[in-house]
Amino acid sequence: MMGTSGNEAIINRERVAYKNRIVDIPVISGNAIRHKMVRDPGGLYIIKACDLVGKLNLDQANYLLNGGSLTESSTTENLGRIAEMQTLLPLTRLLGGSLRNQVVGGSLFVLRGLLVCEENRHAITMSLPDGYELPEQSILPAETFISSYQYTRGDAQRRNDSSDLLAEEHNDKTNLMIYNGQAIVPGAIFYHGFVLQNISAVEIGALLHSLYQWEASGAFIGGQSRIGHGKMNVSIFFQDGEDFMGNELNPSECVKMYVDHVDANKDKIAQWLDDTFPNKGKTKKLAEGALGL
Amino acid sequence: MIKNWKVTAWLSSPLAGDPPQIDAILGWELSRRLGYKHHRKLTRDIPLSQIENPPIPLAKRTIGEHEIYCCSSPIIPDPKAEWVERISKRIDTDEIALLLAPEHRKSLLVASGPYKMRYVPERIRLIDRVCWFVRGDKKEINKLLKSVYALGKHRNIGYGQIGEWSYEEVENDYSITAMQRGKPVLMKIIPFGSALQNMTGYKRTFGAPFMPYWHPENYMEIASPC
Repeated sequence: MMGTSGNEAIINRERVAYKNRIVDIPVISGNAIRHKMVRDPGGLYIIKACDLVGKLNLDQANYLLNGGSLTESSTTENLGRIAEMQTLLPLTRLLGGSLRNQVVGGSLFVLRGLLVCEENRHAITMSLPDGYELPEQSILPAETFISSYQYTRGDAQRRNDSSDLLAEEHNDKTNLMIYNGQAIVPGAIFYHGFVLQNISAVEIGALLHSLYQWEASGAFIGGQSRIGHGKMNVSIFFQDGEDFMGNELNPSECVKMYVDHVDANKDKIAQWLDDTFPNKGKTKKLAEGALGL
Repeated sequence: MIKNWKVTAWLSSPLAGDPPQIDAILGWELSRRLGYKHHRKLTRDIPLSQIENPPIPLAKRTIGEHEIYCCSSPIIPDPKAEWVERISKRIDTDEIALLLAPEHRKSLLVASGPYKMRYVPERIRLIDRVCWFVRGDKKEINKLLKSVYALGKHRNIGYGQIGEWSYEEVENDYSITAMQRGKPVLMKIIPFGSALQNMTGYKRTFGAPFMPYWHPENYMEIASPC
């Protein structure tokens, strides 16, 4: 739950049962984590690596950065196209997405970002992998991690040099705006995780590579990141690093496999995107060609 | 060994939507492991005669002319809290404008159509467990359920996450009916018919009494526990 109270932005929270009462605790939604930390940096990497900047159509960009939309009806499923997609783009096999006429599921579960606080002790303990546990001594309650901010948006008319800048004199009502909201204090820790099912090393590489890309771009999440809020320091624990055959997986080797895979398939990826999401004019021309017009 | 069990999924995050039938979960998981072609891509227009149901480790009972699995509908406690969450989606137009080829940089309708922005309300319930009564092989059931990480809707973004599966042996079979004040109470969705004589605790409605529960070919008059 998030929103405003008066003119104050309230931080996103969820309800947690704690000592026979219900408390609202700040949370980072799985939806935000999935987009900001995986799909967005991963999609941008593919676009840059395949030299597609300034060459995409809207459906291609929407597919890579937002998961696509179902725009055509169909009663058949093109398994060949899905297989091509999963082979060429391991990231989309993780995240799933919608081709123009079929929805393809993914294999990635993103856990929500849980604030490490006393109220969340039970939920975090249940999610922690074997061998990890929270310290026995009491952790601080959630409200201690919440602070507030206040900023002012300027008004060009109120500048000292406005008469030099503006073509004509304005005497309108001032547009100056004070706005405020809630924020999480620096040093707070959020715990979250990813669960991957039925995947290969190259898909683990795609996930880790996306996380590294997000970290390299500043590792921001949440509102007001343009002015410095939500900058994270990321720690990644890689557990049970074995593939289906019991071979040990090394995170940096998985990332290298993924980078090499994208590098080796640049042209095929671009071709697949063109075939799957053709320009509207191209579809018409193909149809005309098929009809012998 | 076939016995009566109470299976409990202990949740570590709130549940979105409704919990599923346990035979559907087992069927989904076993189809995945057996590599059934229709595991992911079974659609409404594929006739069920073309697909094979996976052999899930639950006992079956014949009711009327149908064979149904011995497993109750999901049972959940009163939620400790209930609220509406919003799931949002929008095209980041400021991000994609320069990525598009110049001929595709045009005005985009985002109020309707394929690029419509979403801010969809979703019912969320804070519950700590979901229970089912089943008659089946615990060892085999556990083999399948231990890979099930979440229940309900929006599992991919952290809802309905399961912390632990637990099993408790029960003396009686409550998978289809249970006795209450000397009268049988319905515990599972079954086809509406003569089997319901003297039974209470159900409503007559329309739906599917066996998996896949969403497939229109399975739709018929049913009795649903309430």
